[in-house]
Amino acid sequence: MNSWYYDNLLNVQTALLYIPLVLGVQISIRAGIFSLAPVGFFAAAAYAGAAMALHGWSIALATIVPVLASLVIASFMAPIIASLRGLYLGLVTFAMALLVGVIATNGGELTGGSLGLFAVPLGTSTLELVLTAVFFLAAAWRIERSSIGRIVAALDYSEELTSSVGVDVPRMRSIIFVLSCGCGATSGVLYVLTLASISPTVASFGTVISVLTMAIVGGIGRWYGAPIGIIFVTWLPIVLSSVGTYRNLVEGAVLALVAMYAPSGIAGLVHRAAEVVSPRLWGVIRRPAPFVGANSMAVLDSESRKEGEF
Amino acid sequence: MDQQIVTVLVLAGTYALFSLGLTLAWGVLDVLNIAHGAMMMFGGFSAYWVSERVDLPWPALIALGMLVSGSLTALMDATVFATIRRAASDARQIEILTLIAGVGVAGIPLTLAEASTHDTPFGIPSIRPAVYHVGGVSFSAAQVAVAVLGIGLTIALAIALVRTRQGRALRALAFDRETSQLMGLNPWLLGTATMFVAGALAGLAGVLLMLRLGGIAPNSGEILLLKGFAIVILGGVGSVWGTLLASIFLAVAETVVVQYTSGTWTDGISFVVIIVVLIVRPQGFLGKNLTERV
Repeated sequence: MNSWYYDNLLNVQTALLYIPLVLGVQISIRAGIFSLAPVGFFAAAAYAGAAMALHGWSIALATIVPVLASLVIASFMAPIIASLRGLYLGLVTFAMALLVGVIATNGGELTGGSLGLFAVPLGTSTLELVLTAVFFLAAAWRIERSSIGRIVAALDYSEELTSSVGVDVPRMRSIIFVLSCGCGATSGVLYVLTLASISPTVASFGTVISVLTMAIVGGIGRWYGAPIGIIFVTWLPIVLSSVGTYRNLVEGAVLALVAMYAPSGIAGLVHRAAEVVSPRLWGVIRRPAPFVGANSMAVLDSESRKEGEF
Repeated sequence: MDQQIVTVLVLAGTYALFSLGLTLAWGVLDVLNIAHGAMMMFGGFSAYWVSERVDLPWPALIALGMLVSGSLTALMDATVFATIRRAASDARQIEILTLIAGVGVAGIPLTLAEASTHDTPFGIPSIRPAVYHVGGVSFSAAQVAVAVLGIGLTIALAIALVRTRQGRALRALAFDRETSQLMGLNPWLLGTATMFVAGALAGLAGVLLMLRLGGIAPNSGEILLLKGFAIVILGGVGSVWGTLLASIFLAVAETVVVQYTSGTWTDGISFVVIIVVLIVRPQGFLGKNLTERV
């Protein structure tokens, strides 16, 4: 066990640091806000943290300031993109995320240009990463079972209906958007803490795709979908190392298959299997939390349960 | 300055050719085909792959590239996208899942090309387009082909959509799928045919790009894809004239930017275009009213 841990230290730490980002993306998409802005903030916060550390700021400041700044900036962005929906919001936020990469490439001394920044005087331990990951997962779990979680699901189903029961929909959307960007920023500073380097690839097409894969394949409806998706994307290349260069093909095929046949991801498949295997036990431990696009009027009431919902 | 005009025309033609397929799929079928870039690259790649093994004249290679990309795109639509359309519960979920599935499918031709070429650029060195010099301006046959075909096909398609029966059928399909069925159209056949044409145009763009530049890399599709989105959005989704205008606009903008900066900012132009247009004027230059969609 020990030697496996040290052999795979980087992978373990990388998997842990992505958790806030993927959770942020998931909760956003779950609320019907197809925003990839967390990835942009992931990159921006990582660059900010790296630049700060290289200019002599303390670890504490270099970690906290980017996250706080991201929250502030996101709250200014929220009203601008408030009117966009669906695919178009996705495209705008996608473009924003990649724009961060372009700015980083052209940042000269400050951002290290296309090579990025190295030997950043930051560091962290696996324990700290684990604690952060556990904190975020626990928060996601709590949110899911709270009224906020139900509002998130309700927003995805129908914004008009949610509004009609008294929820301030624009405000909730803004809050969710800002929080998801904050999660992305947290992962960003964790990234630079762990790897002590940064390059424009963190804001590339490939990174956005990877994050989306992590969010979808794991299962977007639940907090444990994020770790499943992250493990899938991080460990698949290792498991498939024999497949070598065809790894992207397998990942791509899996992604397409998931979109076609299992939109609720691996978590959704496990649920469906559990339902079949042991309906009674399943009924005891399950809680309703619809996945993307689920049609359920009982969403606002956690006690009731509709068929087809998991 | 005159050379700049050639550059702009060629660039505009490339972008128009590439974006035409994208706007067809998106405007007519509501399919945001993220695999379009990979299909373009794969069209070029298959022409290269065949040319390494069989000696074919360049028209045959171009036709081959178009055939491969067209068939793959039509196949992808008929299997992957059709399954999603059937299984998903509402339009928005279809959109998102189509996007994700497109990403996945795009990885397949990408990986095949990467594995075969070891992720290096590939081209057909035996086909060297003739270079002409006219009045201080030089251009190659491939450049002429791209500019003429890109701009010409776009105009032709724009006119065909209005003047021909098939064009009207496509517009009817885009307007209301169910009613066009009632009117005797076959949406599945039309849809698959449209995707084939869109893919074939991508393949044409890919082969011509490869011949014009001397070679393309497996990830060339990625970069063009985002520019294609910018163009489709700027021109207005579903409007072919808009695609033409936007292609010219982007070509001019990029050429100007390269003139005054180092060129690493050119990709950023497309991103800024996407952001600004969707926030300020989502219907772009000539798009229909998109307030409900956006």
